[in-house]
This record gives sequence, structure tokens and C-alpha cells, in this order.
Amino acid sequence: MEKDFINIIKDNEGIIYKITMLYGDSKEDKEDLYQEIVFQLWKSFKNFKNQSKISTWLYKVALNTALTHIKKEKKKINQISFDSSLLQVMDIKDSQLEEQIQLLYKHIKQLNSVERGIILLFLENHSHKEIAAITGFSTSNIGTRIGRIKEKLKTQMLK
Amino acid sequence: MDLDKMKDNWEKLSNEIEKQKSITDKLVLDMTKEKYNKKMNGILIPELIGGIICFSVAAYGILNFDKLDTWYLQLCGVLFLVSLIIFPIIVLRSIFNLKKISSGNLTSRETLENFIEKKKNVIFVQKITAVSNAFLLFTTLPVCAKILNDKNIFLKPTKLLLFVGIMGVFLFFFTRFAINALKKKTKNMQELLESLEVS
Repeated sequence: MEKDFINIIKDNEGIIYKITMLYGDSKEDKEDLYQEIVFQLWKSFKNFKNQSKISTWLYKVALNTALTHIKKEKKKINQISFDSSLLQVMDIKDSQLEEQIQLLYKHIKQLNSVERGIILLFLENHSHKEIAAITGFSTSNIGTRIGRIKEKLKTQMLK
Repeated sequence: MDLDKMKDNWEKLSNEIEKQKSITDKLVLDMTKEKYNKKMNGILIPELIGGIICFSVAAYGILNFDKLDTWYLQLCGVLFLVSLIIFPIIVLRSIFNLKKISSGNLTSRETLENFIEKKKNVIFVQKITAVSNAFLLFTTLPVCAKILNDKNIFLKPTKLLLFVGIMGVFLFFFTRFAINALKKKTKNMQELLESLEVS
């Protein structure tokens, strides 16, 4: 079971990383959120009996954890130091792309927490039906929300 | 940057992340273990220590309750015991309920609704705690003075008033601090609620 869990985390670390980048503020906060997501996944993995796709389960738990993540200001104290470059900014060689990705994060972070989750799933190429299954909104509601988010983003980008 | 470009960049980002995977087996296990320990230490230990102190003092109070020989001291004793037994149990329950949220089978909407409901409960409990503190403010000195030193503090009201005055000022600032912190949390909850209600 432990091995299966580790493999799932390793296969999907990119998803956790992206959620962390969208919901965390400081480096410490992102690290804490990353660990919290892994911990919550471990907690719910025992009850995960392949009733849904692994990716659906993983997005559900990771987004739910991010939505209810309480940001703490004094993270430096008692911060778990894990030796790694796990959460360092990805080393993107193309500086223009890196700039655009930073801009992308900036725009998405201006959305509220629920919208952030929906746009993340949209950018990850999930269908409206899948997004509805993960978030709990109806499929038509997801359509409306995505339309509204697109408008918001357009306005932000024009500023 | 338009939305198509945004999607295109997101895909490029995903490809970069895939190429740079860095997590190891040990790291996953360490994170899970450390997080578990941190949670246990961060929540359980202070709460349990607080609970044990309250229950021990209450047990001592019950064993010596017969020393409270007037009706008003007995009334103080009952309020003192209620504050030390009932309120800590309510607080402990609400905090554990908040931490119990299991996100495995719930959708984001359900999790948020659940979370908001439990947060409201915590806020309610905080208000109860403020009442409990007020009870303790007025009852601690009379009960303790009688049980520990066999002195009826009501016969020396100056000391009681001094104690209530000093502790009252401290409690006032402490409660104000707690309420400000709660207001901050409520603001966040409000934003989440609004997100859910937009259709």
C-alpha cells in the first residue's frame, strides 16, 4: 500500500506542484501546503477504493486541501526542512516563457479560491463534466463560471 | 496574453514540470510522517495539557467542595467547576471536529460548506469560552481563597475588586485580540460563501 501511494505521488507531483503555486503565498506557505496535500492524500488513500479515477480523487483531495488551507504568518518557526529543491521555481531555460508563466500565475492568483480551482482544471484540459464531478457544481454551472472567469481574466489582462 | 496563449503556456509549464520531477520515496514518507507528528504536537499536546490542568483543578475543587460553607461560595464553586469541566470539553470537541474534515470523497463545494459550518461552530465556541472566562474571573479567587487558605474573600472585597479589575483588563485585551482574529477568519469565510452562491 505504501509503495502504491508513493508511486501515485511521484506520478502526479506536477499536479500538486501547480496547485501549490496557485494557492500558496510565501515559499514557506507553499511548502506547508505541499506537505498538507501529501498528508491529506495519505489519510484518504486508505479509503480510496478505485471508485473514481485516481486523477479525480487526487484533484479532489488536493483542491479541497488548498481551499481550506489556513495560511500562517510565522512559518519559519517549526518549519519542516526538507532537503530538496522541491519547491524552487522551476528552471525554465526560455526566459520569455518563464516571464509568461509568472504572468499567468499572477493573473490566476487574482481570482478567488474557487475560481482558481476551476481555471486550473480547465487549463489541465478537463471536460466540464469532470470539473463538475471534482468541484460539486453542476455541469451547466461550470460552463457559466468558466465564461465568467474568462471575462475576468480578459479584463485583468487588458489592464 | 489571450486565453489560448494561456492554455498553451500552461501546457508548456506542465511539460517542464514533468521533465524536472524531483520527489523521492523518502521525501514522500518524511513529509507524511513529519506532517502527522506536527499535527499531533500542534493540536493535541496544548489542548490535552490545557484539558488536564482544567480537569485536575476541577477534581481538586470537587474533593474540597465541602469547604465552601456559604450559599454564595457554593454558587461560585458550581460556576467555577462548570467553567473548568464543561467548557473545555465543548472547545476540544469543536477543534477536533474541525480537524476531522475528510476530503477524500467530498467535492470542493461539499468540503467548503463543511468547513464553513465547522468554522462557524468554532466561532460560536470561542464566544462560549469568553463567557467561561468571565465566570472564572469572578469565581476563581473566592473559591481558591476559601479552599486553599480557608478565607472568605467576600469579607475583604477590596482584594476581590483589585483582582477582578486587573484580570478584567487583561481579559478585555485578550478577548479583543481573539475577536479581531475571528473577524479576519470570517472575512475569508464570507468570500468562500460568495463563491459558492454565484450561479
